[in-house]
Amino acid sequence: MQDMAVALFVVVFGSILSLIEIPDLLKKKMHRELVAFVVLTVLGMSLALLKAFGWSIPNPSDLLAWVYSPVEGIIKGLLE
Amino acid sequence: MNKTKITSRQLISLTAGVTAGGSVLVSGALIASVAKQDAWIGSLLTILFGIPVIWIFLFLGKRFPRMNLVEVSRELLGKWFGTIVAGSFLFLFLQISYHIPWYMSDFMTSRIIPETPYYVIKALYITAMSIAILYGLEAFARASEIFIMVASVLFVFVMVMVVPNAKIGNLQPVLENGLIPVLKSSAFLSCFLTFPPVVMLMIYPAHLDDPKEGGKFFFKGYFLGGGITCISILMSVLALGWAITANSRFPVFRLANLINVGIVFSRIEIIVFVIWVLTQFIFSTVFFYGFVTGLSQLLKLKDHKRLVLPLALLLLTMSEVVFPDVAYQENWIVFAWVPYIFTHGFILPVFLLVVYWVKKRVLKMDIGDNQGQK
Repeated sequence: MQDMAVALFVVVFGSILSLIEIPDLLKKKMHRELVAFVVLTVLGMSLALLKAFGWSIPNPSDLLAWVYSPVEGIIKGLLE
Repeated sequence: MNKTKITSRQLISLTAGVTAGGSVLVSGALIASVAKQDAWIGSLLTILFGIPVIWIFLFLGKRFPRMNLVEVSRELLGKWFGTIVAGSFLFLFLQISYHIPWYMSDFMTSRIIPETPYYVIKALYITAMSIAILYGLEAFARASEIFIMVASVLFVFVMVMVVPNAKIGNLQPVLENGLIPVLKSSAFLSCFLTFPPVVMLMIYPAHLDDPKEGGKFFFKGYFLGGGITCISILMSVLALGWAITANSRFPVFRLANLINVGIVFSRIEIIVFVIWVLTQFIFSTVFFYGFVTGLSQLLKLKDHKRLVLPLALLLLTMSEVVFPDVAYQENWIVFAWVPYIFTHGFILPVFLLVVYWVKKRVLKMDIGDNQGQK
């Protein structure tokens, strides 16, 4: 339920933001900014929607835990 | 982009916020579980061991007075490899920018306002971070001066109020198990205290109005933040004993629960929360600032503020995804965060330093120094 509300909020906020920012960026011919802005907004919206519909989003913490799993033994030694 | 300038005093408060913010409330339990009653010696040693690490940051900053971390790594390591290293730093900064909202909502919903939806807390916190960056580094640095002042006064107040509960017996026997557990605990505390200030390299030389004198103030901020952490750990062990400190999630908060002087001064543990929010806010906003400016530099954008609001949407969702539950977080902070920040706060800066020396002394390349004359 909360996820749904957040997805709605993110999509509405992202749309309003795009409506304000994109014409301005086009007018000032800031094309790099435009591409970065659109990519990030679409990414933010799609992650919120994915979460709302119950898909599992890849968790960066899992990635880092996997990267550093070889040194687990050293840390266990430090903890004792 | 280099027009924004901050004063040396603001450098002190930003560094102190970054140093104390990562450690003051969270790391005490971990340190006490490793070093037991000697945790306070461990935290003193950590500050001492941190001095060479901070010196490495300062050395890199001094050699490249017009550049931040992203530009330094690209200058030293070449376009491709430098971009990879800079991207890896940026990933760290992004990680922290959504970890802290998670901590905030976790703390608020478990201790203060349990019925409020956590998304509301996160959304408010991320909004505050975004506003701080949209107002610019100068406004935020001025705010951090006030924050640190308020936080220091409140901190001294809380610690003085705790003194009647302190029992010197809780520290004895000193060094019961020898020096080894103490050294181990200070290795852990370094990961919360000494290495995170690497993010200050996004601000330290390039945005300072007097880059030559910056080092002194960087150290002052480090000692202030380190001192806050050290005293909070010492008082936790003194008043609670190491066993309770090691078993509570937020030892300093528990410590303030003890304060009960008459009717007026009871239930003032919320003051500890205020201290935590103030330092934590500096911490997370500096990291978010580092990410936004670094990303816009990698992508060669002119205006980094355009990216803040889309990224805020991203942070809101990711702060929910990043730690599924408390057990996951407590495990992650030991087994992934410790080596992760060690890589980025120590190994990579040392690597950059070695590359600088090799290029300068062995290959006799003209690098770094002359950039300052521009």
